[in-house]
Amino acid sequence: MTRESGSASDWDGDANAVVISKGIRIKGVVRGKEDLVIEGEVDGSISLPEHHLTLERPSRTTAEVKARDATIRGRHRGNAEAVDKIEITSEAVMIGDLRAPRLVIREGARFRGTVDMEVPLPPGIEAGDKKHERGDDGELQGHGKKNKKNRGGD
Amino acid sequence: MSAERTILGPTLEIEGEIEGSEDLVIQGKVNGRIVSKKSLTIDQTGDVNATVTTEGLAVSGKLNGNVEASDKVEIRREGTMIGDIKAPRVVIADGARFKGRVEMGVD
Repeated sequence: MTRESGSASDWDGDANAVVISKGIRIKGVVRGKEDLVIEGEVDGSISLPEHHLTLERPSRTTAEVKARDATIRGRHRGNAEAVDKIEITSEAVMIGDLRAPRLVIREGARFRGTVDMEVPLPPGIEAGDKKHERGDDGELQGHGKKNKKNRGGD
Repeated sequence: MSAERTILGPTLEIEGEIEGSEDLVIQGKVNGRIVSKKSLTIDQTGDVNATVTTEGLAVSGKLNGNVEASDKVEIRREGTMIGDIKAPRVVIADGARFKGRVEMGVD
């Protein structure tokens, strides 16, 4: 179940993925080593360190998510962390913090939370704006409020 | 991909509670509790450590835990089960391995 193209823009390769469909509800820890599509409910945590996770409609998830990359189309509450990329589609409703080197939030998506794209900038782009790094202002543009980006992290 | 059936593939590990209102096939690992309103199948690669409440259960893999089924429990030839079974109909196939009690509601 390997994937050739690195461009996961508008991920559409769920053909081989395991599907947890909408009649299924899981409370606890889900771990996997293959692509996973969730249409049902998960309350807990989902970990696919080397694979793609899709929270498909009409899924409802309250979970800490860790994946290689993730596409969120359903209703998700909880933080999401990806090694590669997170995409929040136009149908998605998400409350939680995001952490990934690449991030897409589509028009129409509803999202509330902080975003951390803490990645080393590619060479060439010099650190004219060092806002990116913590420690400058102490906070990561936290909109005045306390920086709660570490909540539930690590 | 029929919407009526979920297959939890061989690399999937779940710790906790699964509730299903459709047929469920387990090929990976589950630790915890499974409540199904339909049929549950534990395939040959399935390794389940759970208390199971279901309508029907078929075991071709490994199951460790007690089962209560409203219809039928079947331990197939390749299946191994340790635990108690409570169901109106119970089938244990030739070759299956089973240790536990069986209660079929007979007085």
